[in-house]
Amino acid sequence: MSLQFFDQAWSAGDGVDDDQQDETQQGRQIMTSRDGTIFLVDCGKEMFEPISLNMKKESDGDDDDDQTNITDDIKTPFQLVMKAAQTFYQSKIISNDKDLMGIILYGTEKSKNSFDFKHINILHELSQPSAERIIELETLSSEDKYLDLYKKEFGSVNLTYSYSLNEALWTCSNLFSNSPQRLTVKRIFIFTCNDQPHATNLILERQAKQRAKDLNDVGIQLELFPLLTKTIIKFDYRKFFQDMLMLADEDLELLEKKPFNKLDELLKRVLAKEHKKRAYCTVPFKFGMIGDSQMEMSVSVYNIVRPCPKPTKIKLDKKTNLETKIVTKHYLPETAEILMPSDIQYGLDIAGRRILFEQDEIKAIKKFDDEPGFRLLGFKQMSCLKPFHYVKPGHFIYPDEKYVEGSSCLFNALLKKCLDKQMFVLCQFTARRNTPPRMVALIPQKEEFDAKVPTDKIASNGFHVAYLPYADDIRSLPKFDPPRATQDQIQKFRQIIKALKFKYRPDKLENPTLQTLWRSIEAMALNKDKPDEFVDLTIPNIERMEDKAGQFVEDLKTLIFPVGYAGSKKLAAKRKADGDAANESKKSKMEDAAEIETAARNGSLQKLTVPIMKDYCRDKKIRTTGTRKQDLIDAINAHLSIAS
Amino acid sequence: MARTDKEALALVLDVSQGMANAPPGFDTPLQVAVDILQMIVQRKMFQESKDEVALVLYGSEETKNDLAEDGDYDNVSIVFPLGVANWNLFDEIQKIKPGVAHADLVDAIVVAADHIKSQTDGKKGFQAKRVLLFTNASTPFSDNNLAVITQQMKNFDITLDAIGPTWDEEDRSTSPEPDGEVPTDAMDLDRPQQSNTTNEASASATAPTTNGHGTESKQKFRSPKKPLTPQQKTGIRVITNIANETDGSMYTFREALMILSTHQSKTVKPTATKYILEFLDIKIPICTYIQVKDNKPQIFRLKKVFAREPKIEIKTDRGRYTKDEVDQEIEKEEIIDGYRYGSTFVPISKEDSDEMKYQSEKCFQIIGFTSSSNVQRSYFLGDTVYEVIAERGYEASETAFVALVQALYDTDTVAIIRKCFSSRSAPEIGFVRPHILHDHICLFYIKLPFSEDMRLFEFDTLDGFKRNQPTDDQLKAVDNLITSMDLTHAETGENGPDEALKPELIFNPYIQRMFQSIARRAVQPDEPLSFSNTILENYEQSCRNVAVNSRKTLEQLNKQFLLKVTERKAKMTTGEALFGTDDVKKPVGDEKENIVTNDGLESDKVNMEAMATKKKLTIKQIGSVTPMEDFKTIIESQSLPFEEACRQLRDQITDLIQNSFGDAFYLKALACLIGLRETCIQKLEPNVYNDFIRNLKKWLQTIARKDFWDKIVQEKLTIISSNECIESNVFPAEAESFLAEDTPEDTANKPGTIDQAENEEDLLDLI
Repeated sequence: MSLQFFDQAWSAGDGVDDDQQDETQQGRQIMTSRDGTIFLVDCGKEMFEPISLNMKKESDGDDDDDQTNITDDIKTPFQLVMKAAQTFYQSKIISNDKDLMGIILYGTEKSKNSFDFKHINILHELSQPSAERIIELETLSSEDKYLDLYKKEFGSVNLTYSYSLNEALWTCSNLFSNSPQRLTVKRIFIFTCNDQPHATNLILERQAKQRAKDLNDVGIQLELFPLLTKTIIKFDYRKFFQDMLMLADEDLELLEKKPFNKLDELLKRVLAKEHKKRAYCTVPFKFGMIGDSQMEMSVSVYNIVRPCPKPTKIKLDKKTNLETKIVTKHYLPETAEILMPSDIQYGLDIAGRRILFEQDEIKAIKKFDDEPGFRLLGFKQMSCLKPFHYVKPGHFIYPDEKYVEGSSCLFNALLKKCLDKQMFVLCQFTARRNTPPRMVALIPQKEEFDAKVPTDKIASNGFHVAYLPYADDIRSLPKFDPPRATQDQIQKFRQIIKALKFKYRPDKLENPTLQTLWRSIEAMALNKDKPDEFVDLTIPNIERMEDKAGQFVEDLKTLIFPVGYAGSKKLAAKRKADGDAANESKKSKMEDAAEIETAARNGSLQKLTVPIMKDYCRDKKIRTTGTRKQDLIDAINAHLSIAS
Repeated sequence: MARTDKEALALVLDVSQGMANAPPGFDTPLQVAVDILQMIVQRKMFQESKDEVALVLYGSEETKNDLAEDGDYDNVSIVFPLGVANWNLFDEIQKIKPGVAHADLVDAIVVAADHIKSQTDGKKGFQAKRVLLFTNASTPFSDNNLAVITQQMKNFDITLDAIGPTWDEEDRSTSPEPDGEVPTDAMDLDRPQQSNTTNEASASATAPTTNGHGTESKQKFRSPKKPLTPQQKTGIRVITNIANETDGSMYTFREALMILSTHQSKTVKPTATKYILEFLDIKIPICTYIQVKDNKPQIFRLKKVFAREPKIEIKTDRGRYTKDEVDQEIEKEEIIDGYRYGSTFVPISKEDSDEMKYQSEKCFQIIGFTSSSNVQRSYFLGDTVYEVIAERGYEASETAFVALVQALYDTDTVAIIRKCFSSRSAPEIGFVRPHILHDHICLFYIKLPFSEDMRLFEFDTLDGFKRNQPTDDQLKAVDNLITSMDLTHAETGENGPDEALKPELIFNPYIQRMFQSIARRAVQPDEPLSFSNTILENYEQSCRNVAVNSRKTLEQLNKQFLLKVTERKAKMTTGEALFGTDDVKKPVGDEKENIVTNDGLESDKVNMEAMATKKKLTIKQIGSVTPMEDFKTIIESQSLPFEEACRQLRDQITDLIQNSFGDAFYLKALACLIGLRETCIQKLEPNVYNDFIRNLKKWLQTIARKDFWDKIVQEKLTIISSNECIESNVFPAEAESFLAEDTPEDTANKPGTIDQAENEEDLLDLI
């Protein structure tokens, strides 16, 4: 659930936003969308009073996991907010590290802002989160240290200073307008215990409401996170915030039912990349020529499964700890003359002749269609799709009305009929201008909902785009045709399968490599002793399996494997044959070694294959820096002390 | 061992007069033979084949062979001695001209066989030795020692294959293959392949050939039906005899062309990666092979070479530099790895790096089983389909493997796998599903996503709007289209209707094109390249019926649905105009813009076009004479970065104002200001204008040119608000009041203490 909250409720998930992005993208080449979020935190004296136990209780009530997100060392609402901010920062670094965040405290004794507003203190300017900020926030939520630091930086906590919420909001909007980066979404989260901050000053109240409205007009969203203490046990939106946030009565009812839901989500650590729903491209779908014009509809292409990239290593300058950049220069080997792109041609050597192409020609060879898009070839029964018809991750398509009105209706009809007839659409698909076309199967996908939770959509309606291989991609392999198994052997396996069957869902298993790396980087950055723990669910749960299928496996062993069979022993005959093979390979290894050394001296290692060189390195115990060909060549040359 | 698996092949071509005759409109047998030879040699080169090839011509005036003596073996010439195919051989083939001399085909066979024998004698690794004879057997020869010759060839394991216009009449029956259909491997001129179900050549029959013979020109290869002369019959009998004796085969030109017409990239030898398939304490040794993977021929890897001297390969230097204005180069030793954590850089030592790594061992473990319907095709990840079979030699585990596959098959389940290639690589999740044929049993392995790889997008119900719900008539039109374009049985195969456009039979058009281009460029370096365009163009014949049948239904469909191309396109073209790509005239409706993210090639294109424009219009400086025109030209041609163009225009504006005698230049300055403002709005760069106008306002006061400010007020050239440009952070109210304030200094960022309601408006103004 928390994932969804990040994905949809806050980001560009809603349709309107999507459209806006599209609108601005069309003319532009570069599209980085960033969100900006400012935590606007009340620092009235109630914020430092003991936190309501209700909040703690409620925070763990709703979700299925029994862990509460408010830990015991959180004693006051202020600490809680700092903890929430810290978690939010940490989550953002993984999910979307381009996003900007800031924190403004109001009602503080000391002031810090560019307008000389009283009792408004900018803790963090709007910028990308950093390790320093997170460590600072950690201190500000820590039981022992936070008060000292607070008092030092922001002043006393015993009084409530008279601030203007209007000015606070103004400071926020000023941070947004001064942001050097373009922000797609701008949000202000208000944290307070006080449901009527300007109860005694109608003017201030009116100003605040007016300001909120103005912010709303320029697309800055306001969200409220109410907090309770042992003495403030109720937060009444109707007193002030309903007006200010322009909440309809229905919205309010929803909020009041679960007042701390949103806060709870904030407090959850999310270690996942956030994906904004954005089309990979929007292209025409061509049916064919009608007279001299093309019949076409428009579809948007989405990527719904893609490997999540690992954080990339960057190269830092040791002296400054700053990022470095790579500069690629082309030069002539003899004169070291630096060359311009116009000096470069592309060549390939075939049978001793160098064949030359211009860069434009290379592009032209790749370009088949004038524009990207789908071209209808025909329809086929689903059974034509073989299990091995796969070359790379596919896409999902959904109609687009922005370019061709009426696309949705035609698309819908096509979808319905393909589902009816159990057929897929065969198309030629050009993804980008200069990419060669591929054959794709458009597999119809019906809309599906969870049987138990009817509001939970499992699958959306549209077509999955599956890339088909070409003849060139399919390899011919040796046949494997051993005797078939007997029925009782198969039966035993059926029992095992039945016992170990589970409902696979792709979103259930986390990537151990990625999770470990994320946690390790975080630990390094935040000077933690060790990374947060990660439970790897991809490792088979032997105990459970044993429990469920242990007996069948025992049966199976007696059924198939000879007594004393250890699993790794070959049959006697085979072993003998193997012995011969080993001798042979030893001999050939000697030959190989000699050959490699000669080749190295002649500088013709490049011609040898990687496995041969690898074997050689292993035999000679040569350390290599990598497994690529050049690495091996370098290592061998180094070993034989030949300068390359 | 791959190294020893090669062939010695002597190509023997009859160039006598008899080969040079053809009725008008037909290629001569010699021409066709030369085409086939070129294809064979090209293919050898493209596949980087180690096979050695010789070229022997007979019937030419020249005599060049080791056996020639006293008039024996005359007019037989080895023009290319046995060696790896190269362009010299190719050139020799291109040089072939019809000869006039006497040609004895038996002489030629003997010379070729002898050449192969002498050249391969004592050398290891020749798996096969072949003489490949091209002739129509129209010239006389002597068959004195035929039996001895045949025996000699058999002794040396030399086969005779023959290719000719026709072997018809009596000899057809002796040809080992049925008419028309020749499996690729039998005729594959490289080497016999393992059983290969995917390479049947039937679809490639109509594909364009290397040398650009399209479908229609193929007609020419069909030999005119002409009765064979007695001489030919004798010749054919002799050839057939030797071929049969030596286990050789005979092909017609048409058969040979059919097989050779599709370029094949180097075949990859299947190599197994071994794992132990594990669950609980059952361990089954297995081998995995790549079954499907995007084929990117190695040979296409291009080198950067020096245009003025293509022999020289260009070197690249990738230096590390500081990321600042100084651009200082950093030594390798001064660089340390690191990660970004938000805006913090975290340096990582080698030891840290090892410690941070997730540790895993090589494995192929079953985590559990799941119904095959749970693993949808849309989840598939990675770039490879692996075939998994049990490692041979472990009988018990082989049986266990087979039983597992059969049980998976029976229960319609798949196994979820944790796979890790080595302790240095990251573990992945995948699944295996059973695949059982009558003579083959295996599992297919494909990678699956982790939760981080899934993007859980939701899309609205299409039926949500009434207008998106198709009517019965519309559905019927779609139904008809599907029926008329059903490819499931559209192809006429040997055993009745067959599937059309099978992936197994369609070759990657890009690879074909690349090979064509290389061949063309190699032979005619100065000619431009030309290409065919679509997949369908290559395979149209097999789909022609479909196209014809579907025309009517498509028209029906078009009538049933109202599809309207929107105005959006027009807008987009305007957008492009701003970026200077508009000078290439594109019809509206063609520019359906596509790519959201920036891709390298795309921007390259823009750059190239921008460069082209730059050559035309080299304005790089805004002058004082026609500043606005200059500015517009620069913006359109992109000859300067946007910011720089604006800076120059701003300088011109301030110069104009400052140097204006009275208000003489005001109009001009004002026009520039208007232009700047419009451009900034269009290009979504409001801040460029806004910053300028704010400064201008202050500056005008300091230089006492308040009268110009009045003009600005008159023209309402206020700051650009979010109303006008979505990029602007300025409230509309602020924009409105900006002009109204006469005294900018007083209001500079400093709100007073406001307690009274009347002042609220002012406060707003200040933001």
